[in-house]
Amino acid sequence: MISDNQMISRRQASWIFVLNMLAAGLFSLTSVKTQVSSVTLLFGSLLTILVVIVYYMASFRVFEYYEKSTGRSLSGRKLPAAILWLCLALYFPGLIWAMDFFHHVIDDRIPTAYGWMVPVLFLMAALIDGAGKGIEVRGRMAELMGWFVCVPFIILFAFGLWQAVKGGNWIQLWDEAVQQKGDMDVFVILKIGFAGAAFFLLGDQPLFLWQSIRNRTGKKRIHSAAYWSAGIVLILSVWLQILLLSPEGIVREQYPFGVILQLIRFPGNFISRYDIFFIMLWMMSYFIFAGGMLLQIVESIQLLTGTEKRDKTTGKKLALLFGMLTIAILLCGCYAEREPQNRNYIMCMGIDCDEKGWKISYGFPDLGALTGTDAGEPEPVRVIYAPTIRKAAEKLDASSDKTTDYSQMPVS
Amino acid sequence: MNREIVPDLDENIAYIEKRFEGCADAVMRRLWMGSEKLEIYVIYMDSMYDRDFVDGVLLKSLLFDVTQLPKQHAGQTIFNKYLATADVKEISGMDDLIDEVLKGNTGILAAGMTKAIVVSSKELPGRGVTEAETEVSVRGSKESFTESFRTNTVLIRRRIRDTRLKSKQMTIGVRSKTDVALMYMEDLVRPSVLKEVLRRLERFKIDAILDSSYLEALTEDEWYSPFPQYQSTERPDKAASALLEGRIVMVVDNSPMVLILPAVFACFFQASDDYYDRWDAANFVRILRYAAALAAVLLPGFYIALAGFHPEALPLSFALSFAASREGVPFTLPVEVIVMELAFELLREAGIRLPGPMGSTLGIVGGLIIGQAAVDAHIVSPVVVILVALTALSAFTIPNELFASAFRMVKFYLIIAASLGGFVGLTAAVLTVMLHLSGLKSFGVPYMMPFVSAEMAPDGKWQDSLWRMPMSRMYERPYFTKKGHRRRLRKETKHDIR
Repeated sequence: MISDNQMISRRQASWIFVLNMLAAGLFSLTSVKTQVSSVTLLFGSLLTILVVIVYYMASFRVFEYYEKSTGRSLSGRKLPAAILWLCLALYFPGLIWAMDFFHHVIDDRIPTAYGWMVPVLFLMAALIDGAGKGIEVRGRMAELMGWFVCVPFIILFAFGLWQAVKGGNWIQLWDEAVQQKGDMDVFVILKIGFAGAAFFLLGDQPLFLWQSIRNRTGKKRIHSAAYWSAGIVLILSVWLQILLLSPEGIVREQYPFGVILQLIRFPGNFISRYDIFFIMLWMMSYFIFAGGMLLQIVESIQLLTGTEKRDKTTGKKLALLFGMLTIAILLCGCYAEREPQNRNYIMCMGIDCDEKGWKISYGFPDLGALTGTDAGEPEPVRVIYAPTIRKAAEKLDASSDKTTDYSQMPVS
Repeated sequence: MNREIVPDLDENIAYIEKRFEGCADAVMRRLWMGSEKLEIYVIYMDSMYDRDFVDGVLLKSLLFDVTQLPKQHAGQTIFNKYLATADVKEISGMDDLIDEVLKGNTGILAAGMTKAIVVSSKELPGRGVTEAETEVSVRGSKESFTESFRTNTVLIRRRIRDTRLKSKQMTIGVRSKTDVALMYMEDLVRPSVLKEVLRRLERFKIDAILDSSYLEALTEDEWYSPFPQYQSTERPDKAASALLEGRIVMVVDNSPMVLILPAVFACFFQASDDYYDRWDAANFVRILRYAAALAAVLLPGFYIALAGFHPEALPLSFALSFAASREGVPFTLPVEVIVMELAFELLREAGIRLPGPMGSTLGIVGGLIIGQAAVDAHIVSPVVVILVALTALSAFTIPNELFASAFRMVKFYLIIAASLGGFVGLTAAVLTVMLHLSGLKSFGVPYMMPFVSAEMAPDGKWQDSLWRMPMSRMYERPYFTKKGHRRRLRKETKHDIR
């Protein structure tokens, strides 16, 4: 047979490393909650990269030295019980932390009515990956995901950058993104940096990867290209987080322009427009990350309980559970979906202010002309007076049975 | 228990007649040979034998050419001297004799003999070699396999005239006793794979094997997978090509589809014409096929996610077109897509069951009349009609029918996932499919090879996968071949020798 069970190649290990780093980039989404400054977040992420890479390289050197000096291979050796207990003590809280965190990411970016279900579903799938088939499948999955995630990620990023520059909005976008209170905070940098590294290391410890790598030449290291490409991927993803989420004003409505930016998603703002694709890519990397975490929990439990021989029915039981959870989601009903014809697209918007308050004018597309029916709004422009822009939007919502949609409004 | 043939002919006849009691198609007759009037008993199945040979040559020779037989070893003399064919054998078990007769051969028992003579005389009704219908080639051979086991092995042997092409023949099926042949190149096949195939074939007992698909289902790695783990083909050139890659070909009697194993994801995108056309055109078509497969599985789910959940990612003109086309349609977006996809499946199924000319009429009625009428009546939107047509078109470009079916099944799974969670649901569903594909193996070979585990595969793995190199650069056989036997092209020019 071509492949051996429970062994992965150097390339697969390298992809696992890169995808874990991308998942750790997702961690910078916590800035939504803590409202750290962009510069702090950037430096924190650089620290994450440094800690992870130094830790990995040093660990691999130590393992190599150990194997050379003692002549014993670490692959296939049982780990001491103390290390396994330590793993479990770290991984169980880590699992809950990661799930909670992922739940917040989903909740924050995608309006769904089943908040916890998506992360649970993902973890279930990852568990089937980890417990059912082991590191071998995870290695193959990482190799596939590597191409599916990293290449579109970089293409999307480049495309978005080009869009922003072409749209002429990149200066406003950048100003809005970095315009924040507070300077660099060393304590927060350390906190973010080490927390990010801890997040990464929850996915894969160097020892576990070292044990699994099989190479014909005997070299067990990860490809050196994986280190620097993982660093670049993390920096790119953090940069995206900053552009996407950091502006303080958006959350607390301190800067009305920020609110409009968030609502309008103007064409130059590629991040808001295509953020769902980035989230999809992150979800894929998170899947590989979570798979590693669960795999190690299962392995540790099996080693501790002396049931290393895989139970063939485990995968089936988990698959059944996975199916039941899917049905549970199904029974939740349909959620964020709005039929295209039930969306009230705003084509243009005028903002003025007089003694009566804010005067907002909304322009609608002429769907009647497009379809030859009486579809669309009866009047092409509607003017609403309100004390704030938000109130005007609420009034507009209340006046129509359709959902107001600003996503297609061009701003120049 | 296999009963032995005894010297007493009457006892043998009584046993045979008891076994064939009520079988009106069995022909049994007692005859006397030579001047000594040696008693013989001939048995064969009506219309399964070559009448000209048995009646006109074999029996004529036995009855009229035999003049004197020795008193001892008369049977051996008949066997050596009076049978007008080389294809004869002796059998000592009664059940073996019956099996041979049921295959269409002629059995001869003689008084005083403990062995029966079996003369190969089968001539089964069947169609001749016809043109391939499901794997049409523009430039290559037009021949296809038939239901005749021997014709199929001959069609392969004709293409590989090498004694290293081995054919291991066996009978499977307690009642059907179907002939199965495992064909492989002795020096190219991986011994571990061959051993595993034989092990799997021996680990079950079934009453009948009526088609090669039975064996496929009984020996595959994962029964619950929608993806085929065998490649099936009706083209002898494809089977021969697989043999030369170190793969195993399984020929099953009564089945015009031959099985090839191991099979990986990339194999199902390879068509015969890929190797007969010029490499640039062949590569263009193959890459198009991969893109079409992605479209076939993802397009409807992608549309639901975009139009229903994330219209901001659509260009303005598209968003407005979708909104305009959906005006007045009573169904929700997912229901509309599912209904149309199911309607197409109905048309497809009905088209297959109906005779040829009626099938094409049905296509016109279904596609043009019903589709147009449904759009005019605002029951479905024109966008969905276009979408379903594009999806169907894409699915038809996949050269293997079973593989295309798997894509159709997965498509519905992705539609449901996208209907529930937009791109989040779609991503989760795609991940589970990819996870499944990553874990799948065909006789130990990872299904996604060489896209995964490429380091473990030998050199030359990229010569024929997503694209194929020009024929003059395809030096290596793929990863199915035994180690040390991977070179397939050697050039004589000094500069080109590798």
